[in-house]
Parts: sequence; structure tokens; C-alpha cells
Amino acid sequence: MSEDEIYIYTKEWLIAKGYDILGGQPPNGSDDIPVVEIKKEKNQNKGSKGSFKPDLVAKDSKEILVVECKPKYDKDDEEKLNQVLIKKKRQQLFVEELLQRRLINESEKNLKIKFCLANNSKIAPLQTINNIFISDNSKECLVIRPTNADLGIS
Amino acid sequence: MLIYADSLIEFKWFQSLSKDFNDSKYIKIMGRNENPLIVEEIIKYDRPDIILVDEESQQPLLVLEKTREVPTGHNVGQRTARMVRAAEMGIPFIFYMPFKARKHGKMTTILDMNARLIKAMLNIWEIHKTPAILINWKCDANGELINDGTQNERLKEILPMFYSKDFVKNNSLLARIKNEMLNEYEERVIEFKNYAHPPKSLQLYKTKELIEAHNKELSEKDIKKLMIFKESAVYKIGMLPKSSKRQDPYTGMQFIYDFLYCRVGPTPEQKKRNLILYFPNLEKEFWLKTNPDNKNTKSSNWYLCANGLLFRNGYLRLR
Repeated sequence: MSEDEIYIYTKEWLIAKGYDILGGQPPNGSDDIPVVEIKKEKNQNKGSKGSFKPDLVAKDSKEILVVECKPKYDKDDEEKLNQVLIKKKRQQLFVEELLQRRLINESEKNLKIKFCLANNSKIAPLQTINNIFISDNSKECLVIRPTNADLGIS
Repeated sequence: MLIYADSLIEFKWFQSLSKDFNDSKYIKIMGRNENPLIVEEIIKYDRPDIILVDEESQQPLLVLEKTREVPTGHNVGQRTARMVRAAEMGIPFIFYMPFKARKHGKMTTILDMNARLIKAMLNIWEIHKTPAILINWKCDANGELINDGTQNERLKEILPMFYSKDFVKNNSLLARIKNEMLNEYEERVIEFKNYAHPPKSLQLYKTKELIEAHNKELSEKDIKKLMIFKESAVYKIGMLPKSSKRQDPYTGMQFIYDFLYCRVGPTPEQKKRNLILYFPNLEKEFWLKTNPDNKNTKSSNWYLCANGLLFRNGYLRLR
């Protein structure tokens, strides 16, 4: 599957699971949803330098998901998400951006942020990051939750 | 109908605009020299997002470009070359983008589009007798782009005209759209008066004065050619040697300035003023190495519409 297909099917899967798509940036071209950034804490005043734009951001009543899409499991993307996971300040800046864009409201600012890869790889559970196996047959899509159960999507 | 698209995501979006596209095939626009001839001709300067082609006749019906970016400052020019190419081929072009929207960050503010783009598109439309349409992707009161589906209504309304068998380029709907664009331009010029005049990077000179100031760089033949027009528009491009191997947004801006201040006919020779691209920080020999007129690369876009390129130590006459 191409990166574009993974993006499209992941978006469809999230909507089918009851998530609202808040934003994102497709791998190619442009979509109708806002592009949001997770800034590096040192670069928060310097535009987008060093910041990272997730492929998809979604929410439901319990959590906010940050999703990176690739055709196959990608170690670099896992590392990129882990870098945000361990930095509370970056998560705080991200939530501030979602608030400024009115993508979430004040009552949602404390929703837990969960991190996901989406790809066409059925891999063993990762330690901290969810892996969503994406197929063109939506019935075959499944979440491989991380070994750290607190970080698994609901 | 066939939908050539730059990505599957843009194809899906475009397909969703009409039930008439339900059976349309997605064909990815590939790199240069990897597409059918008609697509190669359209992407000669630059790749648009969407090319709608009649499957039976293999004739292009429409070229469309979509962006979330408000065209301000220099980014206005980033997508112009592909638009001009469509007009040169007589293919209607739609540029779908926000006329205003919020820019986020610490210094968040509402950005308004550069109204010169509207005027340039109207001039392209007039000169090439081919629709060059701007459609506004509207924003809400907070400046956020609308994405509840209603943002596409205007597009949905006008798209069928382009694949109708009776389509003519001077119908009443197109006349109305043109009039709306003109009104939009005039309102914006009242609000932002500087858009009625050339920007700082574009200076208008008497050609004689230009020749006097750069006499050392010009040959007799250069001077003779330049003197065909009494006035010259000089677009100053401050690129430094280390960043000179690039095209965007300058090669797009040259088209905007050409159609705003110089062009009077469909070919680049048909002007009322010379258009000169001026590189005060670059030497001619260096330029020819870094940005040659190679038709297989975008660097050839530098040679498409100006009369000449003026460097700190020489002049390259183009036409």
C-alpha cells in the first residue's frame, strides 16, 4: 500500500471508530483539514523550525491521538513520537495550539494524548506507541497496543 | 472522464465534488517525460494538482490547483507558472485557495491575499481568452478555514460547466465569475491601496535611463532590442550565489509582473514594456552554470517570459 492509501484508510478507520479528525498533513498534496504542529520547546517562538507536523490528529471523549502514517513500520517515526511522549512541555504547546485553533475546547485540554503509528505491518507490540495495522479491508484493521498498557488507545 | 492528480488524496477530494466523477479513473501525474503527451504539455512549466481529461477525445477540460495557503508576499508566485501554461493551451484553470485566513503561532494574525494576483489572473484571462478563475476557500469569523463540506459548494456549482458538451468560454456564468473577481480586486485595492501600484521589488523605468545605468553590461544589439519599448519593468531578485539554484517563487512572480505590467498579447514578445529580471548579487557566468535553460528541469522557467536577465557583470538577452 502507498503512503497516500495508508493515510486515507487510517482517516476512514478513525472516523468509523468514532474519532473526530482535528487536523493533519497528508504525505502528498493537501487535505481539507488544518495542519497542526508539535513544536520543539526551544523553537516555540521561531515559527515552524524544528517542529513536527503529525499526519493525523484525532480526538474522542477520552483521548487525543497523534498518528504517523507510513506504508510499513518505521523506526524513525516511532522515535519521533517517543520524543514528544517524554516531553510534557511539547505536549502542552501542542494542546495550546489545538486550543488556539479552536479544535478542542477548555474542557478537553486535559485529555490524555496517545501516540500511534499506522501502517501495513503486523508487528509485535511496541513499548510505548500504538501500531494501527491498516488494510484496504476495514474489517482487517487492528490496533496493536503497546506493552505499557497506560499508553494504549481505548 | 479521467482525473490526473498529483496525489491520491487530491484525486479523492476532487472526485467527491461531483457524482459525474464516480467512475472517473485516478491517474497519477508522474515526473517529466513519464506521462501521456497531453499531460506532458500541461506540466511543461510546473505540475498542477488536478487535470481533468475527456476520456473519449483525450482533450483536457480543466486544470485545478488547490492550496490552504493565503497568497501573500512572495508565495503568491509559487503556483503561477502552471496556471499560465494552462491558459497558453486554452485550458480553463481554477485556483482554489483562501482569500483570507488565520496564520497561527505566537504572532497569530489574519492574512489577506495579495490583490495583485486577482488582477494578474484577470489579465491572463483577457489576454489568452481562457478562464483563469479564483475561488475563495472561505474562513469562519476566527479566520479558520471552513472544512465542514460547505467550503466546496461554489466549486461544485461551477464544475459541471467545464465538462458540458455545450461549454463555451464566454458564457454568462463565466462573465459573472469574472465580474466577481473584478469586484473583489477593486474592494481590496480600496482597503489595501498599495496593491494598486507595483511592489517594491518591481520598478518601472524609462528604458533610456535603464540603459544609461547599465551601459557597461549591454551590447549594441541588447540596447537596440531594449529600445523597442520606451519603458521597462525591472524585477529585482536579491538571490545570493549560495541560494541561486532555485526557481520558486521568482519564476512564478515574473509571470505575475509580466501580465500585470508588460504583457499585451499571448506570446512573451507581445509587450508594452520590457520585463527585465535583475540579479545584483550574481554574475552571468555563474548563473549560466547554476540555472541553464535545460528543458528537462524547472530552471528553464527562468527563460519563459522576460526580455532579458541582468547581472552585476552582464546581460543575457532572451528576446
